[in-house]
This record gives sequence, structure tokens and C-alpha cells, in this order.
Amino acid sequence: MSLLARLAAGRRGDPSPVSPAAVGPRFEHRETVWEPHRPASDLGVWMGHGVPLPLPPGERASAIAARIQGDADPRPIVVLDCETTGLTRGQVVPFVVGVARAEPGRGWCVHQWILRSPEGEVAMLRDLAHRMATLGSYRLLTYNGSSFDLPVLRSRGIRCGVSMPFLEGPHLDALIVARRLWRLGLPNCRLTTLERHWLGLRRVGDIPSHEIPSVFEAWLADANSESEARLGAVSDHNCADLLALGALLGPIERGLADPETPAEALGAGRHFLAVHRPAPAVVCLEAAMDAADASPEVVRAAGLLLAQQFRRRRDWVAAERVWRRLVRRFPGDPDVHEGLAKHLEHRRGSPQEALYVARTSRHPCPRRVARLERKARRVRRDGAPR
Amino acid sequence: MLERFSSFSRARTLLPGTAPSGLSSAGAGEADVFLGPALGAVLKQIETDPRLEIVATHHVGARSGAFVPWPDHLDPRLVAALEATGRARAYAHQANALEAISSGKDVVLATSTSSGKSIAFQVPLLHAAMTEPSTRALLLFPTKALARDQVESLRALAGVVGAGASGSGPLGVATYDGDTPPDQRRAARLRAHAVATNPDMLHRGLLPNHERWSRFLAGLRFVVLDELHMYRGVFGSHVANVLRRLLRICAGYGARPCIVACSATIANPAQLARGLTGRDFVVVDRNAAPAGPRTYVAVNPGVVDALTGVRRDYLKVARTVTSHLRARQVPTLAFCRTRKAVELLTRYLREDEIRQSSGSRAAPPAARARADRLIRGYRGGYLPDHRREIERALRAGEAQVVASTCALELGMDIGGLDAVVLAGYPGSVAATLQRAGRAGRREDPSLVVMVLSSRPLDQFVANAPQFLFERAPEQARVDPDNPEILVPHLRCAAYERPLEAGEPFPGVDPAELAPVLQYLADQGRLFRDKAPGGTVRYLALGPAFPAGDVDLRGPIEENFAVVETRLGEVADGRILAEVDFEDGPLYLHPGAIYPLEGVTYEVRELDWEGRKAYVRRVDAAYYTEAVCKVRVRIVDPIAVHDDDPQDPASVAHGLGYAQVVRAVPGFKKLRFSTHENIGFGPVSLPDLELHTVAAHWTLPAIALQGLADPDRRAEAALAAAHALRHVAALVLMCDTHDLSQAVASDPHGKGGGGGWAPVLAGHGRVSEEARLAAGAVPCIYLYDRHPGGAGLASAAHEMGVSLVDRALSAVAGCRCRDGCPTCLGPAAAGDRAGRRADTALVLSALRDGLA
Repeated sequence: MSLLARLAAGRRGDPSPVSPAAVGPRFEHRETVWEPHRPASDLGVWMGHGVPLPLPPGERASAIAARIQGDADPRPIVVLDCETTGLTRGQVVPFVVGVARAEPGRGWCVHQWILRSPEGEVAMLRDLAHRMATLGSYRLLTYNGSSFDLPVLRSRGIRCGVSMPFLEGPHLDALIVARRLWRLGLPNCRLTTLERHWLGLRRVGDIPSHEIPSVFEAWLADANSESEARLGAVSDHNCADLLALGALLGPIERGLADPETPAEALGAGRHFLAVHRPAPAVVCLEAAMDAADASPEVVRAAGLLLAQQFRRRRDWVAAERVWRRLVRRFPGDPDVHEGLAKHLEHRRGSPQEALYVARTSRHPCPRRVARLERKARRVRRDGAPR
Repeated sequence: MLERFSSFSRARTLLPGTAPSGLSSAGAGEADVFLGPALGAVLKQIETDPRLEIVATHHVGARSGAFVPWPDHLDPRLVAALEATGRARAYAHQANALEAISSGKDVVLATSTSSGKSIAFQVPLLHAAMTEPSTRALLLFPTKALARDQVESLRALAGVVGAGASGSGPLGVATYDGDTPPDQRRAARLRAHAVATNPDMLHRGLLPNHERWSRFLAGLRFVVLDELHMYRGVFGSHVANVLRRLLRICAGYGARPCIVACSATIANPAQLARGLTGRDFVVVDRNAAPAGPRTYVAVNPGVVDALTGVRRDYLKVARTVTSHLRARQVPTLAFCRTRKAVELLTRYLREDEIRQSSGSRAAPPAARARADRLIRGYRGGYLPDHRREIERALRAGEAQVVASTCALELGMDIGGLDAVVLAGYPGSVAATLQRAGRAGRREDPSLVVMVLSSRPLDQFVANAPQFLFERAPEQARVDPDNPEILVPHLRCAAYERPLEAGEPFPGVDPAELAPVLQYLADQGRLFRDKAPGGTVRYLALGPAFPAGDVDLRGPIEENFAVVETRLGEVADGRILAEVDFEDGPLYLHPGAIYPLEGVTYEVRELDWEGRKAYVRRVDAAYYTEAVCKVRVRIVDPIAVHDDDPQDPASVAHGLGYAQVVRAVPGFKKLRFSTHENIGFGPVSLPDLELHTVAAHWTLPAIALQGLADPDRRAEAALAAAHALRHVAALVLMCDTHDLSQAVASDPHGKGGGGGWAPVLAGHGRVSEEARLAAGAVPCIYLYDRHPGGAGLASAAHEMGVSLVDRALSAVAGCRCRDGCPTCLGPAAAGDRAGRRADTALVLSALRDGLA
């Protein structure tokens, strides 16, 4: 018996075939242009008093992104964000995908794809890939894109058999930079927190993030005016995220170029280290360490990074100075004592002092102490370090 | 070089009264040739014991191994490591396998237990990893425990290789299963050369996220399928489809892995391997490992009451036999059929040991500790660490006698033992061979004693022992094209990557697949899409995750944990063991005695929702046995055929959604040693329900007239049901355990007509009541064991007359005298003449009625 005959024999009770005509439009494409002086409250997501969004114009935006990433690549930026049916990375469907970019003379142009049936995903991704290909070369800007949005789209591209080469170009994940800069200064690094703090925007009537995953399935199950409105709310939320991310480029740049607080200076230093720009990093870290109002946590972290930096460039005098300051400020701190003890043992060759520093740590390392004791004895006996 | 391969069929068989000339008799003088002094003395004890009857003795001669040097192409460091671990040369079958693997062929090894099958896949794997570090291998094991065991042995060998070379071993080995923490999973994906996993994890974890495994899959050179014989029936058909998906995804990454399969003794390893993977295999089944002479003895407990023919309890006889071996310090493995029997035997053997060493029943603590150390129990349900510890004790020789269930039958490395006792016939020739294979170390003689119980099947073996030694082992079958199984996996495959029309799906003809995909798209189960290039593709889209809806082994319910209560002590709340969900009501009802390696615990409370049983240690003089009742009813008929109720020859039959319920109304208390019933207690626990699909046939009036005695009717109906089930399993390529049979009374011809019918099933003890009730108007049910059905009962019903016809010819054509367990099932026991004629009458009445 052929495979088909076997299949048909066992499925007499199946519903009759679905006719393709019954299927409506598979996805919807929306285009919104956001003029430079339009008030933020226009979107219906932010409470506002006619304040416009501080969106940087195109060339400036790309210059900021290049500066943040420490390269001189002037390609334009494209903001990308998707809303999905789940928050884990695997097995979710992106049902709203938005991209935004600054267009010369027109303000910011937002393209959104809204899925209208599960089958529409292939056509939607194909359209997205096609439109992205027409944009030429650009840098993607996302918020947490490196661990969520891009892997999700990559995985869906494989599932749907649509190749999406645009995901593999240069990419700036603003969450990573924001975390470095403001982890210590703000209660958290959610996009809405940053908006409130740096752009003075407060969201009202926005759909809460945790409700988003269920919206698409609710709409599929019953497409009434209420579920339709909620789908619309998700697309507004998506649009707000895209615009806010564009507008946050300014504060990020300001934070890196001109840190306002010691914590921010430490964050900027961390960021410059991460993008392999040690010179501005050292300036920021020194500022953080020397600031009068710096918290002990900031001083300690900045000092350790700074000493490590000096050690790397073999500036032993500067490194020792930082370690000694740290030991005075944080007596007994194991990391600080370890740094200085290692330096004294291996660079300065003074095992006795190294032994003292190692022993006064809160958690002395027994192996180091034993080794230093041996060395110190030898110094006493022979009169000279070996 | 002496090369003589022997197997059961060619071995010298000695059966009382049938000994052909030229063969030695089972005399005591002869025993010394085959057995050493200790085993010879034990055999003599068994022979002279008046409480035992020896029904058959069977000798298999020694076999000297065939050794060859390791192949030249192997890395010298690897050969050095093999030599360092005591494998200076390869067995001929290992060399054959290595040669075939190195030339890129797929190989199935089907040699007996402890013949070095693992080495045959470990060596090529290590060699490949040493010559090409990007090589990857996937090792599939049916259970997590087996995977862990193999990972350890592979790591050990890789460690020896690495020690000779530089620092760490050349091969990173990782386990990837439900217990693997996330960071180790990442390491497994990115760095491990060999990943050991199980089919369920491959199906749900690896394949749906294949892009994360892209590097691993692109480098995949070997897929190892260990314990191939476990992949049969519905489960095997699911695994076959998972393998199809794996091979397809691998092809997408440009890899075509070589498959190495290892199987226990089954009749058709190559056919099974082909069914599972769609590839042709080179079979390596000539065992070249040396083996000492082996003696098989089948023992029937002596008759206690000559009038009724009642025999001694088989477990007591197994105790006697094992104790003889224990007294002579022979390393012995005693296989029991049930977990309860393991616990009883462990307890009894320890008592014997204490009595012997201290001379009295009142045990000094030292003697008790010694007995606890020497005699161990082993079964599923013991915690993994506990099991590992017993395996280690066995390997190290600290444990001398281990009573075990089939849990030790699989590939766990426990070394060889001198004797195996089988308490009861294991139920199949393959299982008997597998368990007996545990006996025998290198060239030393070994002894296998099978103690037959009073079960019909065992007594059949007692009457016709040639059944055991002459019959080929059972076949293992799969049917991966069963639509109920194939379709969900096609959706999983389409989810993993779009299925292109005309794309080869391993093991399926593309010309056959195309219309099926088209059909599924028409039904809305797959989505059809035309790519820009014009190729038609099929996708599974939407938020649903197809693999999440497919369970390879039926839905998995959480196990019960056995928790010890010791108020105010540190050990309070300690987890002692695990019990499968289905077995919970049988072993963990309040008042049950739960034995654990000789220690008895009383269940105080069963937390059904929390899946916990709270037990307290007690010194019980009895054990408990749950009473179990099964009922069946058709809930929602799919098709009912009752053409002419007035016609005495017409057969009412149908197919419907069925509900099978197992209830545990109470339990019995049985005294240790004597097994006498000393009490009864009620149980009130939720019933276990199975929702499935059942086919049913009611015996026509003409058959009822032919068999006036309801008892005979019930028995004949049960035998007919057995024949139908086995023939259906054969035709539908499934395992006999995937289908169940039942006989219940059905006067209305509607499969029970919505009411409950107590079931007369082919196993366990059946009450006289149920038998009488079923005998009124017997209706035969065949239902799927898998919840929701796996398309087997409906296919059996569809076959109708042709199925009954084949069952009839199987019964009529069997070579037995008057019905045997093969043709009529366990019901064929008893001494009533004419059983076969009765069954044939029932079947031919069904056939005529359906035609």
C-alpha cells in the first residue's frame, strides 16, 4: 500500500481541506515618517507636553554610533526591534518587526511588519530581507539584539528557508553600552528607565512587555476589535522602542564623552576598554578614582581596572601607586592585596614586604604566603633576593 | 588458530529421552568436563535434590578466541593505549567491524554480551578524533543510565590515550540529557568530540535547535546506536523517524555520518538497522571472543501434592539453587522477573548466609553485615548512586550474589560471573540468551540454571524444552511509515527546515512522499509555499512547537519518590528510591511494605499530587501484594458493524475510542518464606486510565453454541485474542507489547455499549468471576497501548477477515501437538485436550462472520 493510501485510510475523520481563498492577507507593512519636531505624545505611548523627541539627524546618528564603537565607519544606522510570541530565544515567532532609519530631510522613517497569519511569516521575512537589501550598507542598532532579536530572526530565517544576510553586518547593541555606563547609576537598564531618566519621557497607555507574547495568539484565536486594538498597541510599543533607541544615542554619546558622575566615568572607562581604546579609558578611570564624591565601590573598581591597565603597558610606577592607594583605602581586601603582593613579589623583588601585604589580606592565599615565606627567609640568610 | 563458532542452534543439546547418539548424557561424571569442581558439585547437589526435577541439561562447548593484530592504519598511540588496558590484540569480529567502518560502511554488531562491542565503536571514534580534531560523534542510548556508563568507559580509554600523548585526552566526551546543566550543554555543543544522548533529547533538544549545533552537525562522522534491539515497535518507529530527521539535517550541513549499531541477540539485526535508518548494514555477528564451556540446566520445582499436581514455589527453589552456589562462593547473578521477587530473594539469601556463617537464625551483627555486603539486590527504582555502587561492588568482586531484574540485562559493565540463575522463564528466547550471556568469564566454565515457575508459559517450556534451545530468537520490527507516527515527525522535520518537494527524506521514496506532503498541506497540517525560484516547499509555522506534541515513549508522568520519615533525625526526609508512576498504586499504597535491598519499610502516607510516599522503617514479617482489576469500555464508537443481529453466524464488530481503567481495590499480606496469606487491606487511590483506540469482535451465536461451557469459551476467546494480537503485531511491524488484548462479555455487540466490562487479560491472576462473566458472550478487544492510539488497532480492524484468516492459519499450522504458548498464548496451559480445536472454532466462526 502506498504511503498516501495508508495515510488516507487512517484519516477518514479529518476535516475537509481548507481552501486557500479563505486565507486573508498574510502580513501587513506599515510605514510611518517621524518628523524632527513632532511631539513625542503624538504616538499615544508617552505622556507629554508637546516635547519633541531628541532624535539626532542621520549623519550625526551614524557618527555617534561610529564613535561609540570606536571605529571610523560612517555607514548609516538602522534601528531594529521585534516583538515575539515568547521571551525565550527558541521556538518563538516574531509577529511585529520594526526598523527605523534617519532619512535626510524627512526625519526618521519607521517600517513595521505585522503578521496576520502564521503562514504569513515566510512572506513577511522575505519582504523584510528584500527591503533591508535595498537599503545598501548600514549598521544595525538594537537593544539586547545580540542575545535576542538577531538570534530569533536568524533561527526563523532557517525555519522559513529565507536567507537574511542583513543580520550578519556591523551591529551596535546599545544595551551592552548602557549597562556599562549606567549599571551603578540607575536602578536598572530597561529601555523605559533610560527614557524616563535621560529623555524625560514617561510611558502611559503602553502595553506592558510581559503581556506582549500572548497578544498574537489571542488575535489568531479571535480577531475582534479588542484583540485588534491590542495588536495595534504592540505595534505602537514597537515604534516607541525604535524611536526611543534612536533618541538615546545622544545621552550615550554624552555619557562617554563627558561623564557627569564618577559611576558614569567608571562605566565610560569600562566601555573604552571593551572597544580597545585604552587612552580615553585611562582618563575616565582616573577621573572616577580621583573624584571626591566617588563611592568606595566605584573607586575600588576603577582603581583595579586602572592598575591592570598600567600593568599591561608595563608602567610599573603608576601601577604601584594605584595599588598602594587601594591598599590604604581598602585594607584587607583580597583582590587589592593580591594585586600589590604580586607586584611586590615579581616586579619589585621585595618578598618581605610582599609577604606582609599577602598576610594582611582578609583571605591570605596559603600557597603565596608559603612561597613568600621561603623567599623572605632566603633574603634574610643570603642578604639579597634571588 | 582454533576457530569454532557455536550458537544455540548448533550446540549440543541433551534432552531427557531425546539424546541423539554421540552426545554425552547429563551424568555426573560428565559434568567435570564442562564445569569446574565448584560448579560441578553444585550441579550434583541440584541433580540429587529430591525436591527438584531436572527437565533439560544442555552443554555448549568452549570456544577459543580468534585474535588478530590491531589494524595498521590505527594511530600508534591508540594501539599503545589499547595494549596498556589489556587488549594487546583485537578479536576477529572487532577487526572486521573496524575494517568495515574505516571503509565508510555502516555496521551492525550483534555479538553476545561482553564481547567487546563498545571497543568496536570507541576505537574508530578515537582514531578519527586524533587524526582530524574536527570530527564529531553522536552516541545514542535508550536510557540515561546506559549513556553515563558508556561515557565513563570512553573517557577512561581516551584518558589512557591522552596520558601517552599530551596533557588532556584527544577526545572530549559529554553527556547531553535532561540532567545536563546549561553551561555543560554549551560545552557539549561547542567543544565535545563525542556527545552521548538519548532519542528523546535528540528529538526535543537537539534537532529543533539544530542551528546552535551547526558546528557539531557539520563535523558529524559517526552515529552510534547502542542497544539497537530496544528500538522496536512503536517506540522504534518513532526513533526511526528521529534518525531520518537527524540524517536529513546532517545532509543540510554537508555531513553524511557513518552509523555503527550494537544489538543484543535478535533474529534480524540487519533488517532492524535498515528499518531504523534506511541504510544497508554490514553485519558482524560471529563472536570471536573466547568463552568457556557453558552448561544450561532447566529445573522444575518438585510436585508437592501428587493429586493436584501442585509444585513447590519457584522462588523457594530459586533460593535453594542460588544458596548452593552462594555456599560455594560462586559469583552468581540471579535474574528475577519482578522487582518483588528481587527483594524476596535478596532477603532469603541473606538469611541463608547468616544461618550458615553463624549457625543460628539470631544473627550477630558481624554476620549480618557480612551477608549485607556479599548479597545484593539490584532493580530499577534504586537511586542512581546506589546502583552505581552495586555495579562497582560486582566488578570488584565484593558482592558475590546479586539478585536482579532485567535492569542488569543491558550493557552495564559488571564483568563476568560464573553462574546465572533465572528465577522463572524470562518470557522470550532473546531475553534468555541475553541474561544467560552474563555467565562466563574468559575461558572458565559457567553454569546457567533456569528455575521454571508454575506459569503456563514456564510449564510449556518444562514440557518441551527444545522450544528454548531450537527456536531462533525473536524478531524486532519497526514500521516508521505508520502514518500516525510519520506525520507528526514530518511536521517536526518541516519545522526544523522547510521540506522541499522532491527532497529526499532518508528512508522514504521521494515519489511516495510528494503526494503525502500535498495531502497534509490540503488538510492544513503543513503550509505550502512557493519560493521565488519556483520550488515548492512545505513548512510547519506558527507558535506551536511540533516536537513538543510528540512523545516517543508515550506521555511521561512524574515518578513517585519514596521518602523516609525519621522524626528528629538527620536521615528524616531522605529519598530512598523511585517508583514509576504506573507502579505507584501497586507498591506504594498506604499499608504497603516496600522492601529495599532486604530492609522493609511501611508506607505511612501517599501524597498522590506531590508524587511522594512517606515510609517508615519496620521489621515486618510479611510483604504485601496489591490486587489489580482492569476494566474496559468503548467511550465513543468510530465504527460499529452489527449487520444482522438475528443471524447466528453474523459477527458484531467495530472500532472506537476506548477507556481502559486499572484499579487497585485492595492488597494482601503474605508471610515471608511461607508466602501464606495472613490478611487483607483496602486501598483507595485514583484509578489509572488509558484513553486509546480499540477494535472489538464479539463471538457469534454459532460459536457460543459450539462451545457450551463458558469457561472453555472464555479460554478459547483469550487464545484467539492472543493469536490475533501476535499476528497483528507481525503484520503491522510493531512489537507485541504495543498492542494489548482483552476479553470481556458483550451481549449487545457494541464493544461494551458504553458500560464497563471487567477484562480477562492474558496475564496475571484472573478472578473466577471475571472469567465466568467474560465467558457469557465473549468479545475480543485489541487496543493500542499508547495513549491516544498509534494506529495499530484501527489498522488491525481494517484488515478484518485477512487478519482472522492469518491468525487461524497460525493456530492451525503450528507444529505443536495441541496448542502451545506461541500459537495460543499463556492460556494454552492446563491439561485440557482440544484447546487448539476450540480456538480454531472461535477463529473460523469470526472469519465466516466477517467474510
